[in-house]
Amino acid sequence: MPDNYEFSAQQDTVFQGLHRSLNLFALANIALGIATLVIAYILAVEEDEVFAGGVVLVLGILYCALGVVWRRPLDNLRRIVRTRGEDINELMVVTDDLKWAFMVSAGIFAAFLVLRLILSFGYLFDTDLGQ
Amino acid sequence: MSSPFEFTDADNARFAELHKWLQWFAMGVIAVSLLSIASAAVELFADTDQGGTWGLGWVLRGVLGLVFGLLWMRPLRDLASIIQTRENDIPHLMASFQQFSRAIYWGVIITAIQVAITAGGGIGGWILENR
Repeated sequence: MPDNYEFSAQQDTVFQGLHRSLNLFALANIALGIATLVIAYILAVEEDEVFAGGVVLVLGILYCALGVVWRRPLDNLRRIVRTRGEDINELMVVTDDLKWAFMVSAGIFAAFLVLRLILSFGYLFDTDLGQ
Repeated sequence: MSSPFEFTDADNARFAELHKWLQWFAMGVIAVSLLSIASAAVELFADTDQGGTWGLGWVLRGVLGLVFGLLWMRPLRDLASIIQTRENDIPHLMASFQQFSRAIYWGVIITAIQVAITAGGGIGGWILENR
C-alpha cells in the first residue's frame, strides 16, 4: 500500500478545522491554568491557607500541562496541509500525539474523580475537607 | 475525488491505541460529570452552606461535561470503522476528525466557562473583598 498518499484540498480543510479547535482548546486550558495558579497564590500567600493553596497549585499545573499536551499535534497537522508526499507519516504522528493527549487527560480526569470523591465524602461526613 | 486508501496493520494498531485512550477519556469525562451532578445534588439536599447557586453551578458544569463526554461516541465509532473495515479508510478518518473538531469546540466552551468562573468569581471576588 503506498504511504505517499496525498490528502485533497477538501480533506485538508478537515485538518485545518481540527488544528483550529485543538489550538483554541489548548489555549483555553493554559488560560484556565494561569487563572488557577493566581487563585493558588491568593490562597497560599494572601489568605494564608497553605494546604488549599497547594491543592489548587497542583490543579493549575495540571491545567497548564493539559494545554501543552493538546498543542503537541498542531505542528504535524499543519504539515499535512502545507507539505506534499508525507501526509500519512504526518497523520500517524498526529495519531500518536492525540493518543498521548487523551492518555494524559484521562489520567487527570481520574485524579479529579478521586479528588471530587474525597471532597464529597468530606461533605457527607462533615469534615473540614469539604469546606 | 481521492483514490481509496487502506491503512496498514501497523497503522491500524496505532488507531486502536488512540481508540482505547479516547474511550478512557470519554468515560472519565462522563464519570466526572455524573459525580459533579450527584455531589451537587447531595450537597443541596444536605443543605450545606455552599448550596444554592454554587450547587447549580456544579450541576450546569456537570451537564455540559456530560454532553462533552457523549460527543466523543461518534468519533469512537468512526475510529473503530477504520480498524475493522477493509474498503476505503479515508471517509471514516475524515468523519472521525470532523467529529473530533466538534467535540473539542464543545470543550473550548466548557473551559471558557471555567476560566470565567475562576477569573471572575475567584480572582475578581477576592479583589472586590480586599479593595
